Amino acid sequence: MPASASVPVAATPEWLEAARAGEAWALAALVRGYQDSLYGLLYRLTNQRESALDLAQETFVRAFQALGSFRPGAPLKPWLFRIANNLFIDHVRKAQREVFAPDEELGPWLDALGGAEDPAIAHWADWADVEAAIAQLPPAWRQALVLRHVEDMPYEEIAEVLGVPLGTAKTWLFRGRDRLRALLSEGARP
Amino acid sequence: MTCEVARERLQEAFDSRLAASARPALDEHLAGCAACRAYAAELERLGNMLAPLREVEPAPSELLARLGLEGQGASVPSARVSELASARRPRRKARWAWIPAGIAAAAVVLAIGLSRPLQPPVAEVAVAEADPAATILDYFGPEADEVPW
Repeated sequence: MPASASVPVAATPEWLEAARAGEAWALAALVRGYQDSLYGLLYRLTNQRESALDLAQETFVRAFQALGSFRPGAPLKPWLFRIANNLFIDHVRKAQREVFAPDEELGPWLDALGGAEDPAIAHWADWADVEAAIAQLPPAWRQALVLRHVEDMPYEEIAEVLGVPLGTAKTWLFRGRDRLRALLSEGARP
Repeated sequence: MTCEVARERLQEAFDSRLAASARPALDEHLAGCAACRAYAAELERLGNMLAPLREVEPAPSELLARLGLEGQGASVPSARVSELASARRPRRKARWAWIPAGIAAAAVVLAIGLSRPLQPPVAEVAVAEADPAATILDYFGPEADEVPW
């Protein structure tokens, strides 16, 4: 083990070589460095501890397997977060638990953004209401919102992690906030 | 400027990403639109409500064990691990300094504290066989950037 085994922020050639060779210390360094932020992201996306833990585990497994194609010197966080977000997509699609909002349902409230009076927000919610409302967001909007408000990512990095154009990432974030605002106004918790 | 555009600009301002060149038109719109002024206030309130999102519990200790890596990397300097694992960008506060004083006075931000401690609450993982770093467009096609699936 190298004398200066530190947590990789970027995939240095030395660390990458060791990780590709399956050296446990290198793989553990990756996990120790990113497990908290990764788990935090997935917990916010799923609102379920076990799902977040399962997805975090799978993210690292996938990352270990994909190291062969990873570019030396590249930052690890966006790459890891993209894997995590893709696995979250799979999770949602297969579980089919989420409430999706088909485009035709969005019309009325999208129109409301055009200038109608805002509904009075009588009482905004405790934290449980906020968590419940976030869980009701369409997954794409939820991802953008969580990346912005949990990880403080700028628009460009959100777009990179989600693999979409910058304008799309912004749209998802803005719509996510507007939907969250509407849910909290109505009382999101069932 | 329409309300729809104004609200997009307000969101950008909330993220400290509003172009300086866009401010005069937005100021003019806000001066004459109570609904958008209310929207600005609600946006700031929403931001304050979401602040606890950053206070997330650390990953369960069993994660390393699940990966068969428990006990590995013990010689990694703990201070360095903590530093990098917890490193975050400086928190940005919404900057409303440019909003006319009357609007700022009308913006009421409720301080809403946590009603209960954050606790991990409760699921299956279907794993895509494709490239783990594939983009959403690879999954859903070009229309994916318009449809929130």
